[in-house]
This record gives sequence, structure tokens and C-alpha cells, in this order.
Amino acid sequence: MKAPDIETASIVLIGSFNPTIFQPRWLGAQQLIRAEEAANAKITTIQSELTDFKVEWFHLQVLQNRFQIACTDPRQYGPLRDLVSGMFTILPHTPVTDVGMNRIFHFEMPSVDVWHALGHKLAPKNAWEPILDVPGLRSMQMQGRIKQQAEGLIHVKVEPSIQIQPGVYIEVNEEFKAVKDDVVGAHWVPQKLAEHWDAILDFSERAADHLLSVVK
Amino acid sequence: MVETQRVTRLETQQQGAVIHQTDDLSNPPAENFARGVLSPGKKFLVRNLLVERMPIFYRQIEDAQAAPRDQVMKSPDVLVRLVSDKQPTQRVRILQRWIGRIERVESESFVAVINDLTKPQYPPEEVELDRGEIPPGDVDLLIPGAAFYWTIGYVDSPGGQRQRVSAFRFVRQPRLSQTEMNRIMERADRLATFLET
Repeated sequence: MKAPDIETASIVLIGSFNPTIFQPRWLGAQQLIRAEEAANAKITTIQSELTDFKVEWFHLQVLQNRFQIACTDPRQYGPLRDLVSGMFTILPHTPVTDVGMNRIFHFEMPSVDVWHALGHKLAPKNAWEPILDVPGLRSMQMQGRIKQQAEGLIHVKVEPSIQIQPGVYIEVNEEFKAVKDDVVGAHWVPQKLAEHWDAILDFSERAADHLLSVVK
Repeated sequence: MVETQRVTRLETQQQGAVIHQTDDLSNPPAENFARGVLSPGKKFLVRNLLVERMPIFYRQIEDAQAAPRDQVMKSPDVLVRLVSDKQPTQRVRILQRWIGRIERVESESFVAVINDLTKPQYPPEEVELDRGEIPPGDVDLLIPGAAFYWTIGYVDSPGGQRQRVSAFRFVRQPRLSQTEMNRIMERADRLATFLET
């Protein structure tokens, strides 16, 4: 894969959370992160409604209905999965209804012309030109599955990058839902991460490669 | 989407909890309270996820609930800064990465079996590495059987300096309670008995 200029991997859980549990000291006490990392965490806030802090290699934010952890260092994507698995192995009764595994890329395009060409290729303008002057692709999201019978639902979003000009933003998300008949807890989260995290990271690279190749 | 004139959306977000900023909560719109959208007394309001799932908003194309926030932050005046993919201070490019398992630990070195994750078709290799490679915070985890990640790559600083770095991080898993240990041992015994018969 062409090396991205910026990238992020994140894990998002939807459910019901107690934000105050998720503290650097708690992670350190559980030995899920190094003691030095816990001591040097940059805490924005720890409240009953919201926890937000950064450790050297991840940024954790927990709302009462949303847990999100993100990492911009590709060396730490494996540890990121381990960390979330560890947290919800310790907290198996946390109600989690959805798990999203996400990867984001920003790629600089070789020229403005190539940047436009990618937009034209993904969203041909002939359908729009009768009603719009200078139509341009602002955001596109596709949905599907890696294989027809696959469990997770994939979303791929393509937008102009707001951080790199001319650049392309590609977001890949795979989402899993708790089995409806099951008692909702978090016991299924570590297993889903173990089974699918590496696969979605690989898929996201293939997807980005493919999308960029349409203008080669 | 629920719209009120006094509420400024901090993000363009189609799903999940969306945080709104409001300048006057003393008299929020009654219809929003009736729907459970707003709760009084908070500077920042978290719209309940359930509201997004009301039938009126149901769409056949299912939006991603557990996706990252959009890349655009609409207002710089946020008190709660949401997780974003803003440009990191350094850029990392991985050249090779392995996952390894410690076989034995010597006084100055350790021996591990490593699997190449960059080229999974390569067979596992046994390597001897210096103990000094291990970060001080992970030294306690250096025991036979422990698993670790090892990556070699480039780190580019914002000033343009490129460094070639080798990084170790041990796999960390929750400590098992004695009850869990007993349960695992019982399952192992049952499996062993089954395989022997």
C-alpha cells in the first residue's frame, strides 16, 4: 500500500458505560498499560458523563453511551486491540450493543488533476451536470460486506481531505451488533476483536489501494 | 435530526451520541424535553442514542453507529474536544513487524520465536535479542511464554528528521483470578481426559 500521510485506527463501542471507571490509574492498576504511561497520561476530564484522556499512544473518550479509543501509531494497532479486549474482559457485564472497528487514511494526491479525476471516477458528473454547475464530490459512503455471508457490515467513506490539499480521506468501518437473543454484555467484544481486528486492518489497506488505483 | 435555534452542532455527525452546545438552557424547547432530547442544567447536552433510532428517523440504508466522528470540526469553541484524527506530531512508517513468544531468558539476553506479520508466508524464526531492547516498564513481563510485538520502521519528525526505530511492546492481558485459573485448569483436565479416551 502507498504509505498514507496520516492514519488512525479506532475502536468504537455503543452501549451503556460508566465513564469514571475508565481512568489511566485503573488501566495501570490492571496492568493493561505500563505504570509510567498511566502516570504520564494527559487527562482532559474524568466526570460521570465523560472521560477523556490521552496516553502516549492512544486517546480514550468514554461517554455514557459511547466508548471510543483511537491510535495514530501503526506500531500500536495490535496493543490497541489487546487493551480494549482486556478492559472488557475485566468488565464483562457492561452492556455493549455495537462494536465498530475503524481505520482512516489521508493520502496526498500527486496533483489537483489526479485529485479531481478520482472524484470523477467514483462519482461521474454526467448525472449532476443538468442540475448543478461545477458539481464536485463532497462525500461518498458505500456499504457492503467483505464476503456475502460475512457477519460484519462494512462502510467505506471517501471525501476530500481537509488536512492535506490536494488529498483524499478514506474511512473504513466494520460494524458488528450483539446477538439480539443474547443477554447484552461485553463478553462478546474480546472475541470479535480477536477474530476481526487484523482482518479489517488488512482489508482497509486493500480498499485504500484499490480506490487510489482507479486513477493510475 | 432535531434542530433548535439555540443549539449549535459541534459536529456533522449522522449517528450516535451528538454533543450540542447551547447558550441558554433556562427554557429549552418543550417538545425536545417531551422527546427526551435535552436535559436541563448542563452546558453540554448529549442526545440520547435511542432518539436516533426512533422510527421516524429509520432509514433502509443502515448508517454506521460505531464509526469515527467526521473529519470536520465545525466550531473551534468546544469545551469537549472529541477524538479526532488531527495530524500526529510524528509520522510512523512500518518496515517490518513481528509477533514473538519468549522461549527462555538468559542473564543478558533472551531467546524468542518470532512470526513475521509483514510477510506471513515466512516460517517462524528463533532469535536471540539483548535484554536492553525491552522497555523498562515491560521488564517484569519478560518471562518464558510471554508474547510481544516487535516493529522496525521509520519515524519522521515534524521537522523532517527521519529515524529508524525498533520498538518492543509486550502483550498485556488481564490478570486471571484464582477462580478463573481453576476453571481453566478443570476445562483442560476434561479435554485431556476426552482426548485420552
